[in-house]
Amino acid sequence: MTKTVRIPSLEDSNAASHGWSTTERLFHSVGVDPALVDCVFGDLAEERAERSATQGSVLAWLWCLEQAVRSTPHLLVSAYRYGGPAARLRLCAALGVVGIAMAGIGTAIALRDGPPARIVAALANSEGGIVVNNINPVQLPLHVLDKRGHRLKSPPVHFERASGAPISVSPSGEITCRVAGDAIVRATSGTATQEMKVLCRPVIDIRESSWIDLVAGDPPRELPFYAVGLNGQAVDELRGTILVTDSSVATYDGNMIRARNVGRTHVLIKIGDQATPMSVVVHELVRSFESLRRTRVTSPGGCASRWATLFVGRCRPARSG
Amino acid sequence: MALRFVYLFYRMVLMASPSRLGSFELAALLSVARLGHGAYGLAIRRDLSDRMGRAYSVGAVYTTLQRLEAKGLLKSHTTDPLPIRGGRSRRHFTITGAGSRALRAAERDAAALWAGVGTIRPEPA
Repeated sequence: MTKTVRIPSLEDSNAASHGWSTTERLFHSVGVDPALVDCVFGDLAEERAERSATQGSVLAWLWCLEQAVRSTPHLLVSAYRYGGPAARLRLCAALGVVGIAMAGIGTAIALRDGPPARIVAALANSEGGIVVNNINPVQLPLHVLDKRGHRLKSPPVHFERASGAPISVSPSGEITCRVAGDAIVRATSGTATQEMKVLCRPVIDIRESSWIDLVAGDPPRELPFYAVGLNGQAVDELRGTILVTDSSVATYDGNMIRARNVGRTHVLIKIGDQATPMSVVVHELVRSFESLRRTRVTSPGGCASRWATLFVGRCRPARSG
Repeated sequence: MALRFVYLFYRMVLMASPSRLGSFELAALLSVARLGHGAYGLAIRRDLSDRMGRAYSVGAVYTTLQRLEAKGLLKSHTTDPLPIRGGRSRRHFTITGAGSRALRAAERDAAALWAGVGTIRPEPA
């Protein structure tokens, strides 16, 4: 017994006779004609049964999967062609969501961190060595990168001393410099290995003048300090920070301090475990004693005398004629 | 895969003309004519694959049949649900009068195009 129907009319005589699978419901939800979905899935079920008998259930299932994937674009096109405006809108929205999801997944895959591929010593000098001025244990600074150059967060890295001076290296990368000397430290993360030259130059003291006088507009000059090593001698290779508290008065750049404006500020020198402050006073250069402002000459305390002391050496009286 | 979807969408929606019979539509129509009462999706797809030498997808065949039905060249009816199809019916297709005329017209067009063409030999390189 048969009855005649038209596929594009969305009539479905079989909906009640069997349950719809999730895949079928998915196609219905994006506006594919249920009758068309029913035909396609009926053919797939019929041929899958035949193929299971002759080729085995695995091959039959794979064939079915391949057919489903290849048929999907045709079903979607049919839904767009024969669907109404609402169905088309729904289909476009669904495809948009899928597209955005695929783009998101693709981006996440592209940006994901890979396995460790390269270890780079941070703060290394031009020869690839890492200067350590600390006496107390200090973490060896390095970055682990994947093959795309992404910096990995908290990768497991194992450290060991390979050769050189007898410095103490913990497996987690803490270095203790009890003697001055050079050592090679090997860092391993996954398949990436890197050997780094560690220059142990422990500093036990920083000696400096308590203040430095500058004149606004003068060329920059070196900060008058030196670091003392374990043997009491000056240490040449240093790594540390120099902080100027008021950069409108003076700035530090390229190992030189430059006076900017008249005033007073402080410089904090930190090398290894040692730190020391230094006062910086920037004076104004005048052409004559007469041009000195009264308020400055009569300023109270030692400040006024430093003005006078410095000024005597730098005074350039204006020549007449 | 995504590019393939976009390409198919463009080709099938924007380039398809409702008034003309495409080559695959003609092949499907001929298959229905050839199979007679046994013309349903699975049989048509196998017939086409055997004759054209390539494996067509179920979706491609059914959407073509759907298009031909929308053009009035085919009509269909469904059978009772069958256990081998998971409780789904078969949809059998038959050619309408318009479909028969379209096939004859296509035959005439092809004959006219082939008229005067003798043995085809490639030009020497």
